[in-house]
Amino acid sequence: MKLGILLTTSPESENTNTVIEISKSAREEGHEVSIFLMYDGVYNVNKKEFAELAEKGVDIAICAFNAEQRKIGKVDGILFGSQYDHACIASDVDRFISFG
Amino acid sequence: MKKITVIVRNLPFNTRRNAEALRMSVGLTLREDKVTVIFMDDGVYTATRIKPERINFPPMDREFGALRMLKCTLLVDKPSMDKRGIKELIENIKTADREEIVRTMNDSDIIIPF
Repeated sequence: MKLGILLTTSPESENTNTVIEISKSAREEGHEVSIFLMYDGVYNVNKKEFAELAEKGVDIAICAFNAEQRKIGKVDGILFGSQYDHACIASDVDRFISFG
Repeated sequence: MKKITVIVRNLPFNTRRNAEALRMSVGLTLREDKVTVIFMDDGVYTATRIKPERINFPPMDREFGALRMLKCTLLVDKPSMDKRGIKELIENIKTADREEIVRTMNDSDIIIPF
């Protein structure tokens, strides 16, 4: 199954940990996971757990527009994309969860 | 084609959150999915004739313009309007009773509360 996740809150929100744990569990069960970070969610990009998720095969994309607004630089393994990438995730996945 | 519903529930002032919800909604149309935006609770103020520029806050005209051009459905929850005494909305936004709001949500493949 393909799982899509949208995260729009910054790392101090409990949403961050929930997204990390759901993504980790889903990958361990063999599901495909795509995460899109936008609005204050882009601040999560520097958390080491997200780099670890990317290493485990989770596709992570970030809204580059929001990242530039917040002076966040590029991170290896994470796509600095656009709302089109979010549209692709929403369109292609079997299940979609939003955390905001 | 998926049916995607975005729900705006927060006050439009002192945050770019609602404008971002609308920008995201525009983006979600890029894969030919059907996008509906529902304004409810304090989010209904977003769909009124507010003048955020008077408090040096950017207006959302551009986002609303794009959504109208893309023929996205924009619904305002009537009970939320009535509770706040709101009578007038901006153009091309439909007032919907709770039954229609629930039906729209039930018919959606994806719901994004923003």
